[in-house]
Amino acid sequence: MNNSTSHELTSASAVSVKFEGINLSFGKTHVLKGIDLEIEPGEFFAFLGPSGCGKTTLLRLLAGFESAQTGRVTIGDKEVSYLPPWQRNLGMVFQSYALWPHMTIRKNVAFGLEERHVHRSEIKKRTDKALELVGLLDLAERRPSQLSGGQQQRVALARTIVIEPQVLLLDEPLSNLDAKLRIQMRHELLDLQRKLSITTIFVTHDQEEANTIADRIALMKDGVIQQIGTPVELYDHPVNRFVADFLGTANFFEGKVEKSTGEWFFMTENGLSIPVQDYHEKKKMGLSSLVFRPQNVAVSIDAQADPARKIQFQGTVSGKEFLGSIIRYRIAVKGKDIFADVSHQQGTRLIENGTAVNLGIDRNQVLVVSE
Amino acid sequence: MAISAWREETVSEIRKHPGMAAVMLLISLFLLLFLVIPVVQVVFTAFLDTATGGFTLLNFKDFFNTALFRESFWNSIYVGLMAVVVASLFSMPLAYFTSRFEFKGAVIIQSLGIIPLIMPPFVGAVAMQMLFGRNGSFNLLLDQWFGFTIPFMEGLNGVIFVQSIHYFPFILINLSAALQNIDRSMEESAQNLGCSGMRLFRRIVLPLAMPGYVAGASLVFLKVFDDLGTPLLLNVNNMLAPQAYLRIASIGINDPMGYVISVILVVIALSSMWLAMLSLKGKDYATVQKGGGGLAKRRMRPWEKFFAWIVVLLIMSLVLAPHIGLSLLSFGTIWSFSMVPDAFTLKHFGTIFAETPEYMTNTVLYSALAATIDVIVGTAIAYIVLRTKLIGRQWLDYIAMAAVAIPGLVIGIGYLRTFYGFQVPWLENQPVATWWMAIVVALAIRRLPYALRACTAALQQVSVSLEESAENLGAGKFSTVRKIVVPLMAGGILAGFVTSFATAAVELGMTLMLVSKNSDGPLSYGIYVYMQSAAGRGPGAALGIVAVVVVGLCTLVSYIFVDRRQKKLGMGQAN
Repeated sequence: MNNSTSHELTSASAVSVKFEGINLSFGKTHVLKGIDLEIEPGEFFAFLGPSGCGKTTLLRLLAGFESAQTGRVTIGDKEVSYLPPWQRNLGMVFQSYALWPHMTIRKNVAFGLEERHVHRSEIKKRTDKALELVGLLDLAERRPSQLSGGQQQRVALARTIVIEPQVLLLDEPLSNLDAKLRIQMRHELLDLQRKLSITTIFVTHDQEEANTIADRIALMKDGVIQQIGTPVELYDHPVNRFVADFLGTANFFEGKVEKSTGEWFFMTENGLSIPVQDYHEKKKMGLSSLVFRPQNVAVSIDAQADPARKIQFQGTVSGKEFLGSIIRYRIAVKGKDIFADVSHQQGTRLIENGTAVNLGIDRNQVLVVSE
Repeated sequence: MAISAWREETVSEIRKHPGMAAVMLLISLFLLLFLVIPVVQVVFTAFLDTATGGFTLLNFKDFFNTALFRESFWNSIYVGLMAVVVASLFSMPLAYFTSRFEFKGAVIIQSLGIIPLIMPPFVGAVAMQMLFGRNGSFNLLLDQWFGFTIPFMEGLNGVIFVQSIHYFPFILINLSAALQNIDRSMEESAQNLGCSGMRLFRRIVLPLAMPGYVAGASLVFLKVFDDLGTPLLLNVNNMLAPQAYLRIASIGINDPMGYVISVILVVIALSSMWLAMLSLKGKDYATVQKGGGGLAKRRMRPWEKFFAWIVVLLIMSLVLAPHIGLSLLSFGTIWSFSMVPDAFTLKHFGTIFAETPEYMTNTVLYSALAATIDVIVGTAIAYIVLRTKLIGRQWLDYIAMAAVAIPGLVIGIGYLRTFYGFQVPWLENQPVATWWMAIVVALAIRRLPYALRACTAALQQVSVSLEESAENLGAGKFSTVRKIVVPLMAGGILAGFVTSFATAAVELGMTLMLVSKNSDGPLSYGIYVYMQSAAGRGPGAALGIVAVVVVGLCTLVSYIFVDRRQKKLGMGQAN
């Protein structure tokens, strides 16, 4: 994209978006269940979750393509729950880009302005500006089918921002691009969003994409928001097993927290008892999971365990994956497989399968979460 | 509880699409008045006791107690089934050649799939008699050289022969499409698991292609079973459709037998469609995945190539025979007991343009109006079905499509029954049923399924997100339909228009019932009238040529237009 462009497309002031008590069903399928969510003005916000979790439906609800059975949607100070899509002034970039094949690029971009009865000279000016911003001015007279995927993506963006929408909605906009282009477009999107300082909502199923681009994430599953927070919050303090599992790789022990001799222990189903900090009796959980990340597990073949690690247990190496910077060992601990990542240095010997190893974890790197 | 929720949904849908709800109401009324009521009238009359006005099964009893009707019934079934058999014999090798081999004749085979369709069987029937009849060119030749003749055109044989030449493309097209839609990986995975040759064909290819074949075969049966024009022109009257026509035409619209036969025609047509659907239930395999479909093709060995060409050329000469015969007839002076006409002349064309130009102008007028109605109604129904959740939208589609199963003859009889009592208010002594606008409406109803399918297919190709993005950028429903939906559907709408136009131009069964005076008659009616006498055959054939040229040209022009447009838009690549 062209960085020298002036900032005239910047919207005057960013707005907030609020969902309150949203319930939405398609026939008997309850797709969104009691969604409450507030997105701050100017925020780059991601709806993240596996397919079928309702993230796209929530976005389409905001755009006006779905209607909820209960609940309110507010943009800025204005309730929009009952406005048709064409009166909401939200710019949506579709997953398929949805460029009209019977119109040139210029026509595509000018469409929204024509619908708003903007004066012709003004349309020309603003269309040029938007196309310049995405670096496609010289391709203006082509048709969508003559453009590459990345270029089509930029046209879809230009077509959307040219109407100066209150909120920019992006529905898995990078999913149709190849890996390299995806990363490049990710940066361009972020640059553009910062430049326009427009409230932006991004739908994705790719946690890496959400982590790298979003200020905050709402992680969804089965129509329910599981957790809202910054990427680091979600990774470090997941509220439940699903969140921990969805973001990065995690090890789990199932079991219960019990008090013994004045201290809290996590009693796993396979008979380990692991001391845990930060556990208060009022968080009574019953069956729960102990979570820790592979990179926090220290592996050693010596009988002498690392004394700095407060939690220790034994296991047997049952498999390994060489991933370049790290080696990921699969280690059987009392019938349960856990993963441990060991950073790889040149010349290090890999531990053979079947070797007995000692494992150590810092106490503050384990977390008890609900199932 | 459930009812109030249902009502709530209905109300909210209507509120969402108020314009569409109104359009839906209008179309429902149109279909009710011009399709449902006339057909119901026919059924009703069949069960009506003419003396008492009460319900009776007596008419059906009479029907099956009459030897002529029983014979006609079995004849019609026999002709329908035999036509399917013969048409299958034509199509199977052709479909096999194109899907299995790298075969240069594939282009010819593709054209073979279109040529017969631009001319309905009754147009070429008399010409086929001249070529293959007892004293036709072919048998004269056989007799002269080998001393024997083949009764191609004797009685029912003639109907079967002419019909299967004309309708085999339905099987060919469906079967080829089914074969082409089989993903290569289906075949390859079977080979990978150790299956090959005939066994592979029998266990994998054939079952996967079956839906296509059955769809085509049931269509052929339906067309042949319902056809009135061909038996009538070949003077074969002991079949159902001619019997119905002759009863109404000779005895009058109050004779119950015409209605009884109509009901039987509809019932058999519906049950053949139902049987086809039943046998296909759950077998609609769409196996093509990304990366192109079609079975693995290989080059033909020389002897295979030789054999294939023989078969293709043989079928091609049969397919072209009605066209050649019709041309000879239209340009010939006297053609009797000879290989070809005695001399050639243009006077038949002079006759039709000088004496009966109205046949041609009427055809263009009626067909164009009917096709226009069809694409408008078709687009509206397609939009309602695919883009709204209005209650009853599926029924709209079903009812409009049901016209496929109603023979033209039955619609004609229904119109006579329903609308004969009404007068066109501003015309003197003009019953609504035989007014030319009634013909237009009847044509539109009858050809609506073609246009509807074309429009539905076109709309299905337009991704919903193309509309949503327009709405998102500020375009209302109406603006979106006008600027995005209709332009993107244009190719499909045009295809629907042309199919409706071309088939309406050569519809005979219904026009025969509804045309009350020569000056209202279209081409098909004119061909029928001329062909009644030996002297009229020349001008009749000339009219037939005009019909073929009009239909062929329309098809060609629209094909070129649609093809170019598709390429220009790069549809299929983008989105």
